[in-house]
Amino acid sequence: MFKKVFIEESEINNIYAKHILSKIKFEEIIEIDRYEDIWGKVKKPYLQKRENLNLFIAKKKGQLVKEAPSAYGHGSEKHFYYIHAYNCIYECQYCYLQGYFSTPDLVYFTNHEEILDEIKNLSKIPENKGAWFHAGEYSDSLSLSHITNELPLYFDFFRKNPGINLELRTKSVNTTLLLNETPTDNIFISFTLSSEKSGKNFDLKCPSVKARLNAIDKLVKHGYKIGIHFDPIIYQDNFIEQYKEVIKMLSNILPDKHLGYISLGVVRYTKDVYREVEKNYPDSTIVSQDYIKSFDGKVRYNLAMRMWLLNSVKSLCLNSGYSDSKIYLCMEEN
Amino acid sequence: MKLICIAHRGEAQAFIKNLTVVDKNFYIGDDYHLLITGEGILNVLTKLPYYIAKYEIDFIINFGIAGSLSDKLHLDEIVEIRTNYGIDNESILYQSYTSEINEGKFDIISTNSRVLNDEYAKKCRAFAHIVDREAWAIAKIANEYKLQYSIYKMISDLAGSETNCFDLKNKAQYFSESLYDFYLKQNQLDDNQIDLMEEIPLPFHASFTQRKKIESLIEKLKHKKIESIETILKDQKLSVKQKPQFIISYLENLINPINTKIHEQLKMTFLPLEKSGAIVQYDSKLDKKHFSLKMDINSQTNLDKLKQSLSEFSFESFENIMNGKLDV
Repeated sequence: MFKKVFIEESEINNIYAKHILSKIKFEEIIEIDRYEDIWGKVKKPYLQKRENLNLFIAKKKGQLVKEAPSAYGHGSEKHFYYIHAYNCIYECQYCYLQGYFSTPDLVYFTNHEEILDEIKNLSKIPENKGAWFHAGEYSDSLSLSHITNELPLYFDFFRKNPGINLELRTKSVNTTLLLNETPTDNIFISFTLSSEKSGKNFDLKCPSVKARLNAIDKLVKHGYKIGIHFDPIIYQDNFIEQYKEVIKMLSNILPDKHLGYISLGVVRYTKDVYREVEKNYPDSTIVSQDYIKSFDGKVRYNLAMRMWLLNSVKSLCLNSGYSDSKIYLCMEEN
Repeated sequence: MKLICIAHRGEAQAFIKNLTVVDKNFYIGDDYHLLITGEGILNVLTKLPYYIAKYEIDFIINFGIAGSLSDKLHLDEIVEIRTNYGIDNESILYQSYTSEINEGKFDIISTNSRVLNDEYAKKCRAFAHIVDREAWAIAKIANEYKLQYSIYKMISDLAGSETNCFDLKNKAQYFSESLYDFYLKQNQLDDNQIDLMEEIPLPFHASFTQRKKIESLIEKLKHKKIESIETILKDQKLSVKQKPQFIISYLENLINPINTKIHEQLKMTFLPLEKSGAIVQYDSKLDKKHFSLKMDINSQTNLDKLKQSLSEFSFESFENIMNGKLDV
């Protein structure tokens, strides 16, 4: 699976590092002082993740938990994201990680206790009452969780801290660890979904949309609260019919009472990311969309088109019985 | 014209046999020209651009020997390079270069001094499989001048404390002949040059901007089956001037029929204002929620008509469309 594994010398005896190494295949292991000495030091072509992917096992230094931008999550509470990893094994053509990091090599951080200490400290601040802590900002939160093995620790923490919320954002169907845990009201598993056609065209190396729906079904039956991210929404022929179909399938397995929220977001890129998308996927329909360069420099659909897409999907959700109060627009100022 | 770059005269000897000398570093021929760059990044950066410009080079090939950093490589093996990294003294250079036409599986790192100790070799091994002194610079220049390039290296030794420079020098002829034989077998490289996209023939006159727009739209629609332009225009009663714009609108609608609908509904919304004589301008990109009016007023009648149409106009109708509330 990995060509090289680079491990910080200080983490060699870390229990999470040992677990990772016991579960993965690699060609070579190299001890290093700091992952930053090598990772991200050079511009490594993004598509080399297909055949030349390296893994770094390291301790995250500096800020471990960051405040999220506005419109990141549902509700009026504060939203934060914690950093457990960099980069992802999936290959979604629209992914902003293409232009965000200079390398596709994965980093898994092992100092989870310190991350939780930081979350604990933040939760004590009065204005952070009811705050949300999200995983999945720089990586998928579940795809390799059976290898990284940190989830039981986080579940235990949030079980003991019911006043704050945990969201695990994912496209994965890796539910084994989740099905071994007891759900609570403050832990949400949220899935990124799209129409089946979109998923097939753009979510490379990801579980199919149908497979994700099956995973949702299992978790709902187990008692989990589920979040749904229809994000990014990308226009395709027969758009309404396709989204109608996936939302119908969703409503058959996820009743409103088990739904935490649905977020809707239209595809958007910074100019750096879009440059990478064009370079990496020149033959994909994702680069033959009718984008404009918006007033804030972002590449996306024009305002009217964005609003039509969002309103269309929202209407379909409402018509399927989901509450208006649970649907929000993600990263959309209007 | 193709340019072969080789660092040392010894490695170039098989390549220059049938070429004509131009100066001590440069040779010309019918199939390729050849530049002896000298060793190191700086030598390449100072010499290569001059010859590229002077001799209208459109493709660069680098041949040379290199040290292995990986046990996957065997001595005397010739490999195509995938990604080029560079290191300058202690600092790794951020920018890397990957040739668009390569089929290589191995990455190279170019250093500014020979890798003669294992510590340095270990540092380089974190980034690449092979080490040399020139490849990154060649790739950089090719990238700057937007030229296609290929880099091939013959594995001459294991980089580090076992490197024997004197021994390598003695084997120069062997390396040169091996690389030249490899080049002869690889001579299909000429076919790897990217053809310039031919202009799409249009059955009408179009301005440069219109032509580029049409070509860009057709490129975006390459995944769809679309009718020929002649078929699209058949039965359309259009003047010469109207044809290009008709085609542009047609193709835009195929890409995004929603945008077309938005424009149509905005046109209907503004029609009463336009009937009163006003020219309505809104953001053609449909990204800004405002519009402006322009009107020549030369009588009270104009003014009355405008007042009447404005009193009947609702900003909400415009706003609804911009908020995506369409009849689709």
